[in-house]
Amino acid sequence: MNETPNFMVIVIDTLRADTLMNNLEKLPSFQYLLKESTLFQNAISPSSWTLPSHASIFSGLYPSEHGMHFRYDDDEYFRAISSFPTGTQPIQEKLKLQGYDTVAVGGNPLLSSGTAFERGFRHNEVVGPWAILEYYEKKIKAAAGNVQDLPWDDIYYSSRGQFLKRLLLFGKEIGPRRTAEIIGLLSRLRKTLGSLGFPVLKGSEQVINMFSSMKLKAPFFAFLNMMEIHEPYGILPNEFPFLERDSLKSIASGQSYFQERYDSILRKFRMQLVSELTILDGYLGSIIKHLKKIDAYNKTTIVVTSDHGQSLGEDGFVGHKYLLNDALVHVPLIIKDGKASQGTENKLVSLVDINEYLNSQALGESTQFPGREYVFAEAFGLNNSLWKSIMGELSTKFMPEIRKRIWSRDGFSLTLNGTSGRIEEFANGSKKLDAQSNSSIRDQMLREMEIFVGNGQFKGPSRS
Amino acid sequence: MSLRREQILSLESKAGISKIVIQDALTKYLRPAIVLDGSKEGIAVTHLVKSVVESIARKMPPAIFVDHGDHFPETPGFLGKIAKDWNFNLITARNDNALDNAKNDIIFVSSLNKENRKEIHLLGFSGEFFQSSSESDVRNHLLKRVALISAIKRYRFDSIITGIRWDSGPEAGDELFISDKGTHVQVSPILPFLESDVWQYTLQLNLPIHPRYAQGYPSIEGIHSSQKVSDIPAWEQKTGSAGKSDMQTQNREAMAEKLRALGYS
Repeated sequence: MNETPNFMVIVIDTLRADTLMNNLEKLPSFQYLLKESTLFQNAISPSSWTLPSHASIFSGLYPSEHGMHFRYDDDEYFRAISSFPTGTQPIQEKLKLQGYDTVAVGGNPLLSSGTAFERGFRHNEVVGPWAILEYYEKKIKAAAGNVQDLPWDDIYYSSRGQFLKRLLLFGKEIGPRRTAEIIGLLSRLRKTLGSLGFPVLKGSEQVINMFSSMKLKAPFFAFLNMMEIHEPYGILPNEFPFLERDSLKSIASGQSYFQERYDSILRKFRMQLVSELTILDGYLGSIIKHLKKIDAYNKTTIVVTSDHGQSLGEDGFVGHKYLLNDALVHVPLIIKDGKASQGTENKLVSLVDINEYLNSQALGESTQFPGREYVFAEAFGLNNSLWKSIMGELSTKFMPEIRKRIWSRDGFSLTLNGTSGRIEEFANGSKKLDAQSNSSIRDQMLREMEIFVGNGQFKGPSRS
Repeated sequence: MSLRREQILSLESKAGISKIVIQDALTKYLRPAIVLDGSKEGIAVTHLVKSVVESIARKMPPAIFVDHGDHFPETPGFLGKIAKDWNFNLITARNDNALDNAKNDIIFVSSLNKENRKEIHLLGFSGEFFQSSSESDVRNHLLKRVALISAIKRYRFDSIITGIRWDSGPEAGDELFISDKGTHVQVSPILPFLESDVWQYTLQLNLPIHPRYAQGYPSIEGIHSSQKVSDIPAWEQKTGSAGKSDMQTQNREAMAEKLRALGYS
């Protein structure tokens, strides 16, 4: 690939590294791509949900650096997510300035036009059921008037019964006519989504169709986001909404009925993830075929990764955000860049390096994706309004927890809770270690973390 | 060189200005670091930072010591003790590949790694080899500037606090308190300090002094680049030249121009 390469970054939203790696034999398109690619086995996403992770992939900055993450103060949060910090050049903008045609199509509404992610793209569009959800959400919000505390997230993530139950709690304030209107809108929403195959299908077919219909001018940078692996999974009448790990743990450990039911649900979730992945494998095949059809496959550096994983019972938690365990931030990374396949690569890498890697490729520097001595991931609790919707009145009494995690290339990792100042976990690979063991490694990691934290608001353990 | 208005201020006022500059940087930037080489300026700046962080209840930023392979043997221990006493992380920045090559009298460009070859190219050097001496600007660029920039990138520092003074050389005369260098922001809080001000600040506050100063070395930059000029301590010597020739000063000025063009401090 001697001429200026095209770039294609495909984010399979919410895909865990192990889900991909344990099921490769069922995925012919991935196998085909891997013939000419390198599979990085130790890739870490800088955060555990869409917004901060994508901001990091595009900008090359960690969440604490780009600031697009939860903040306790809602106003501060909305200000922060509306733009990249001054002086930051997202990769799409760098490439556009170098003459690239830049397009983005995805199923995730957090990346829609009108957000910071639009910057640098000639065309940025969100398609699929979330666009429809957004449309109905606006209508439902309008019908609800100024009732701000309605649990909007439940429109996405809970059953109709759960949502209606909570809606009725606010019914007195909303009034019977408007409540009936909301119920009607909800019913239409469910029917419309059902006709699209939601929640099994979440818009990637439309993403592929949109991408394939675009007239791309080489060299191009195309970004695709595919949402099938993201919840909701649609396999139960009552899905788990975000569950606070402590409450779930206590339920699960206290009563065998809940434990059995919980395990059974998680088994179904895991099976559903694999079946969604096989659907996505078909879409990947479509992308490869299209690139070949337009004679671009051999001239395109392809990066396939994920923005975060999904906790399926790890640490007693179902969902993502808030925590930083391997289930949430150990993500797949496949790179096809015209060089001979390296097979699997064990070096420690971070998705924050995608920006610089692609830019150096565009500038004709034949660089390898950089391995790092240490990489980091960050979680910033949650916003006040979300906190309130989960905790109600108690929200004023508890601050959300802020966490950071560091990995060393030797396989050690350390998770710090920056709200309490505690070491939450010290591990070597998947083996949990006593925080007092391997003290020289632990202290070196604490030192690296302290330097990384800089002036950020984060309570670290006191220096020894 | 004529003095700027700010250089005529009292030491107390100059220290006040320094603290304002430092506080501004510490509250504005996420990840600042101090450049600390053991010189009196580096120690004075670090002390000024310490007094600011104590007043605004922040923690000390880390400091970067650039190991260019020619430092006095006591320097690492001297800095390590200050880091421990003043409670900050001390990072040693090294360009290992260039240091390995610098053990020979002549450094062949072809024997350097890709990153160092790229740096030399950016500097405008097109020869096949250069001398491994403290007089070689190419060598100094690799061992000092490249090592520092690598540490800045490795630790993702966004701002670097230095001890540059307006009167420390012609290349420093146009420096600003806070200036964007591309890869990072350079913060220079003691620009208005004269050399005598730094000594006065050091002695008044009883700050640690590198032992070579007491032995009569006016500068402690490196074994081969710093010469002892007298048996009397540096702070009692006439301040100014630090034993550098006019030719050296001119060469350094030309190199500084090139480095500035590349975005280095």
